[in-house]
Amino acid sequence: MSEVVEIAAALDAVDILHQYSGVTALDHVSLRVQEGEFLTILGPSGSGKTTLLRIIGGFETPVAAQRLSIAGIDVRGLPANHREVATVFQHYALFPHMSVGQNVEYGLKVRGVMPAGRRKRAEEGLRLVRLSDKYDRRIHQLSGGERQRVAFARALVTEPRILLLDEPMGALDEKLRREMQVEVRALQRHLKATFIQVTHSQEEALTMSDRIAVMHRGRIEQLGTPADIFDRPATRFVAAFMGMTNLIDGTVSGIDGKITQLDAAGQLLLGTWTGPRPPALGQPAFAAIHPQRIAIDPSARTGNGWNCFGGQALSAAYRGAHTDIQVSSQIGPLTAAVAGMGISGAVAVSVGWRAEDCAMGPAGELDS
Amino acid sequence: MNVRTDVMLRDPLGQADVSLRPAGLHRWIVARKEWLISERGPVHIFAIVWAVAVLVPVIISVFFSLLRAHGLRIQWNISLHAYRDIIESGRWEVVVRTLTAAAAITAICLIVGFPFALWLAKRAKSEKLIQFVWMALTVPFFLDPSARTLVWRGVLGSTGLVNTALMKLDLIDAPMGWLLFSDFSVYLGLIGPYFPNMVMPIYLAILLIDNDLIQASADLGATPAKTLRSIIIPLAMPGIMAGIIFTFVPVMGDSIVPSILGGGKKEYLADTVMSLSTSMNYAGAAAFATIILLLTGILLGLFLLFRRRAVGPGAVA
Repeated sequence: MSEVVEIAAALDAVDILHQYSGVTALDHVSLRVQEGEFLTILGPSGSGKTTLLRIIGGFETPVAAQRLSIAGIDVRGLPANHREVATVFQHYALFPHMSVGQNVEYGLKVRGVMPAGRRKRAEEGLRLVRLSDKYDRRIHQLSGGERQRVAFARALVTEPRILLLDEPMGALDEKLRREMQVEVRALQRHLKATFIQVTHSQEEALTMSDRIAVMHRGRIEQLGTPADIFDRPATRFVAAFMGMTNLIDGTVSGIDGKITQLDAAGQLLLGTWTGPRPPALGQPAFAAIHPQRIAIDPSARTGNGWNCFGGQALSAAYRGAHTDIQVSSQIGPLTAAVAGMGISGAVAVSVGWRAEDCAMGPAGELDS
Repeated sequence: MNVRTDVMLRDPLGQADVSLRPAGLHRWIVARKEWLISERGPVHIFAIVWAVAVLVPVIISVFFSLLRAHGLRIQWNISLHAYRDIIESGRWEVVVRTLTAAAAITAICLIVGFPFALWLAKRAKSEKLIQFVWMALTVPFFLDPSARTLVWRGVLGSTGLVNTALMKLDLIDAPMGWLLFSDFSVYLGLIGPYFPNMVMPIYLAILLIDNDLIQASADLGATPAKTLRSIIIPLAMPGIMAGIIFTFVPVMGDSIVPSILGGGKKEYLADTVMSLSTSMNYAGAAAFATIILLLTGILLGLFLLFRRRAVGPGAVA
């Protein structure tokens, strides 16, 4: 058997440990990012996601790291200016005393690129972010969206092995944010570059990434494709963070091939096990369902693989694209998102959802 | 609703009845009030106060320097006699000496003060340490300048602390005379009190530089030296220039340190102006003052020029 030739990953981090004055910020984190991949580190504030990005960028030195290499080069002990990464900062960190062109050229200038070559590459970079006519502008003359584009151009012209994005959409308004999400993703595909993004927005993570690493309390709780993370959460935290507001706790009472049965205070529930390890009978577990996967009055669809419960609709909250309906059901309070205006007033309803839309995993914290 | 109650509701005190006070005066008061709270009002007031308190004495001083005086008798005709006198009497050396000293002391304060300010603003982590440093830098000013300066005599004199200690340690045989009443002691005495003047504005300017900018520079591949040159120094330039002016100008005008630590061997500008005015040579004193003013003006001009070049026109920094 021939040996598998290992292509150096863009990022290979193994067993990173970091603490701030006794508080663990990163609890033995390992992460591998392939060349040309768009990976998003997703998590609430304080989850350690920014610390991880800062360690990759070289702004923070981890307490311990078994391996930390960028494109095959060990960067432990290497300062930020010697790492082949570039960062788009949350507030862009554009140099206020330089013009747009000087900002974009900065990384080339410090590498000793001659003025003519510098100018050419800076103009190319600005064209890439559709700011060709802004070369001589001063930073304070630009809008927020334009500043972000300059920050992208400035980071990209140095041709980094990895582009780090620290909440890049954080300072933009809603409409611009949605536009930039699409544009940044297109730019990344076009350049076939490796992007690592940090965000707390699940929407941003889902729309932009190849893979998502969900962080919680200094650990990566789950690493997978957007569909994995959204539909097959490994832990209760990931389920809740990805918007599965319907969480039911119980114990595993039956395993039948792909279908797992959960006993929640006497009520039986069918679901799909998405936990990291196979389920065991009698194991405490959770079930999680996205509100938009719950059907109200699913009379025609009852049958095999369906969970169906009686209940009472309590209130409806109009959300624009859909309406959230609070239901007090046999199995506990549930939220169902239905299209249109939904129903109003307290009426008896039945609610139902398919077993494959019902994720199940082990209760409690992720064990190591 | 009837018309009269409507008016009373809107104007219950009858202020709308203009006939109660002279219309012209009323309008004038309203106009003044508006002017006072307007954006330009305070600027005008400041300009007037500044003109009366600063500009008028300066103009009078320049005017005086162009007169000729014999004792108490002032001859009311314009001449450059006072200036010629400064050159002929060799007093221009005082100007050169003072300028050299002020430039050297400013340079020393800048060379030591900039790294110190940088450390204080970006490296010093402990809040207590920073507070202690500021206390150490400001407390000396609670002391009377002459008393503070006089202490150096006890330290630098031939029977002072330094010489005694060195002789006791058998490092020298005879006391070093150049320690006191020399250029050395004057420089030393001037650096201490004016060092905070240099550090404070630079510290504040560096403190205002966003750490992200420094990190972005490193992230883009710049060495710390390059970051210092391209990011920190240009962005701290207003503070550096302010520090230079706040050090250079008062050092040039200091009369206490040279008279206490200089031993009367060499005269500095402030001494000369003082002695000229005590000997009632007002024209001479005014001429000296005008020269100082001119030099300060040139310095300020250079400051504005450099600032514009470093920061760029219309920059927000």
